[in-house]
Amino acid sequence: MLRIVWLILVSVLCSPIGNVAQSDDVLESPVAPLVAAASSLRTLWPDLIEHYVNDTGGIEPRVSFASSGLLSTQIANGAPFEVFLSADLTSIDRIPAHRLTQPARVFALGSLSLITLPNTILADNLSLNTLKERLDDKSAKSRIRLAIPSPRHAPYGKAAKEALTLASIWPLDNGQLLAAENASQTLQFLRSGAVEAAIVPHTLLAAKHGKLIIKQLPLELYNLVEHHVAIMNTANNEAMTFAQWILSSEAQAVLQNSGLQVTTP
Amino acid sequence: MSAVLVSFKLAFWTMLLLVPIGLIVGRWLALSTVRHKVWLESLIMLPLILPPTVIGYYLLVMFSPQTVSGQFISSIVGQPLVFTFPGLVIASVVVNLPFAIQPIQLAFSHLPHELREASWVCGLSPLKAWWHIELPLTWQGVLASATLVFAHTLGEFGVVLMVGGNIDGSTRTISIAIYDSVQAFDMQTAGFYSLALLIFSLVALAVVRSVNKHG
Repeated sequence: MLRIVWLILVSVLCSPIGNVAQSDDVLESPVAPLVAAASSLRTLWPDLIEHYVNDTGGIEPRVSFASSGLLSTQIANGAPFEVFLSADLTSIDRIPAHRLTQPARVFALGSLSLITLPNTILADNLSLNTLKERLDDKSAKSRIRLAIPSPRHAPYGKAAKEALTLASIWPLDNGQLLAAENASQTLQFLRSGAVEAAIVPHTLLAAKHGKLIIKQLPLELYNLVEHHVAIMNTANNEAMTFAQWILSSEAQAVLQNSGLQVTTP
Repeated sequence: MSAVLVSFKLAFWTMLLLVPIGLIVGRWLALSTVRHKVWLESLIMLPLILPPTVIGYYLLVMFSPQTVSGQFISSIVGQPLVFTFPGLVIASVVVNLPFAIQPIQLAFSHLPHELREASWVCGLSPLKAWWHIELPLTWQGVLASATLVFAHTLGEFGVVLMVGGNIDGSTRTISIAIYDSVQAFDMQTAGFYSLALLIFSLVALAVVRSVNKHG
């Protein structure tokens, strides 16, 4: 029995340690840049990366999607990301200065859309005005709920709150608002039928998500969301290449096709 | 599939570290008659009651390079532990303490004390008595402990997300991959991982129940 225990211990201690070391090596390897990206970029990511690999011959980055605020907290606490694609500058400013190699640069501007499903009460005439009417309508009130990304840590949520405030819809009554953890989850709330309407980044709607009724919010109601790219001091050459490529005309064309406004002509 | 590999690696390391801890602490708790033992038992059981986010928060603060404790740990280990696989293993060990210790403590508490006395009378040292007498009689508890730790680690979510983040190939476990797939509207992948976890958990529980029944 003792021999078996020793055999198991030795084999186990050897192989997984090797694997752990290997996976740590991968973080520093020049072939696998580690990117933290705002979840509003999730839908366009496959297309973007396909173009990146084709244009540069680079290796597909490993990516983690979350709200910019959450990713910023993770980086500030030591997460080993090499490139940060944030949907606001505030999240980058929270990162200790020594982690950044150069000032962040804007690579795209994002807008918001109000969306609903075809079978809802809002579907026939979707607009902020009809949304406000339905939310104010006491008789139908219980049937209308709105989802937005959490304004506490999601840049698109802050922009949505800005627009709702100017449209005299904010603040909403208790139970009328669902604050999602990030932009992707906001869309998930609508698709699952948990809410009747949602305000999401327009770029999330670039991919097909079944039948949705979409109405872009008037641009005068909020400031466009600025997507920034920041390079961490741990970035390897591959990560630097990717961060520079995203500012190129090739990347900007992909971003524009996906519903973002670009910063270079 | 890298999430599967990370999950199994995490579960394996957690089990490997916790079973010896469970054997030492569980046996001591079963045999000890010290006063206020109940406080130590309660401390070990805390992860069963506390929300994973609370444990995750304290570990995040403890490991963060922005805190004194995190800087101290980094200086010893050579790198920040947060959002790394080794950090995830430590978090997992903390969360799984009750699952490792309780079954072993229960098994040792059912051993008649006369057995130990008889082995000593026969001239066996305490270590030999433990190895040749006690361990063979408590193996069901040890197996239950290892199985529960392994299965629970595979399904752990809150602490893993807070301490490990969601880094592909390093800290993205199956449960995080399920969450991530749902966010990406990839219900097929989420369904596949969920079914795999469901089946594995069911089998693990059946093993524990079966061992306890026939032991």
